[in-house]
Amino acid sequence: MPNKIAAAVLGPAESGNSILQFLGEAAYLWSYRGQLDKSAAIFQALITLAPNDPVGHQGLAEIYLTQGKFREAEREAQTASRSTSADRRTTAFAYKLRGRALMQLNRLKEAEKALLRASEIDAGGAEGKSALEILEAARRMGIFPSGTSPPVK
Amino acid sequence: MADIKVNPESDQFVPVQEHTPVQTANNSGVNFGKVLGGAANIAGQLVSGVAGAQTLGLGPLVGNIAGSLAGGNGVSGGPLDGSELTNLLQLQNEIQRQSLVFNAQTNISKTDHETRMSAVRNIRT
Repeated sequence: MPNKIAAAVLGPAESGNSILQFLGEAAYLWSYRGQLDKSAAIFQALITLAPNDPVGHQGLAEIYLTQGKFREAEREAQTASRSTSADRRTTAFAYKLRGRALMQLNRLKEAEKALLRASEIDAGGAEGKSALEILEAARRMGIFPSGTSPPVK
Repeated sequence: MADIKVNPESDQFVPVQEHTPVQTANNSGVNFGKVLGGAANIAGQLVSGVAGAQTLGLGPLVGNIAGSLAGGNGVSGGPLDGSELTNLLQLQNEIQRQSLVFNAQTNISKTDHETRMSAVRNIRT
């Protein structure tokens, strides 16, 4: 059903993708300006128009994290991380978001696992390194008890 | 090929005059230190003003320290005593710490933004 909506709203695939990219950029620009409601509405529209793409879920997860809605953030980040059409960097970013949400929910083992997964998926990449830095900082601060998982390489 | 005539008795060359020793004042080093300290102070203020956080604000402090070590009255005023110098060093450390935090935060923001935009560029229906 959503694909029919997308086809009706967006038209041919090439121009449709450009419209989706415009919507994605607009949504992030609203969030950078602090207009989270407007941003969330556009991300919801993106989920309707491109349900298999991670951007809508990922954007919503970030907004929910900012608003302190950690359960919703974790759910959206998990959906984004399961997307099959995402590249390594985007998937790692989704896992990192999930890890951050889980940390806030005090589900520390799962959080550590999610961050480790992010570092493995994008090993050597920007998001992988970022996930490693979060992991190491959390370990230094004693958030993750040592010995629960293999040391970060 | 023309022969080159070499006349060792030529009077074209006059003997080089020897330098006479120059009297130097004992405090020349101090004066130079004063000037150097003042110049470093001005240059440091200019550099830190233009480059902002990148210089970590080292310029004025270096100038002040150089001026005060030389025992002169720098451009910025009188010599620094111990407590003023300590305060300046503490201030310097605080500025340096803030710069590091700021740089780290901007780097993180930049990486996150690039990831988001990379995902947006790959949106497909």
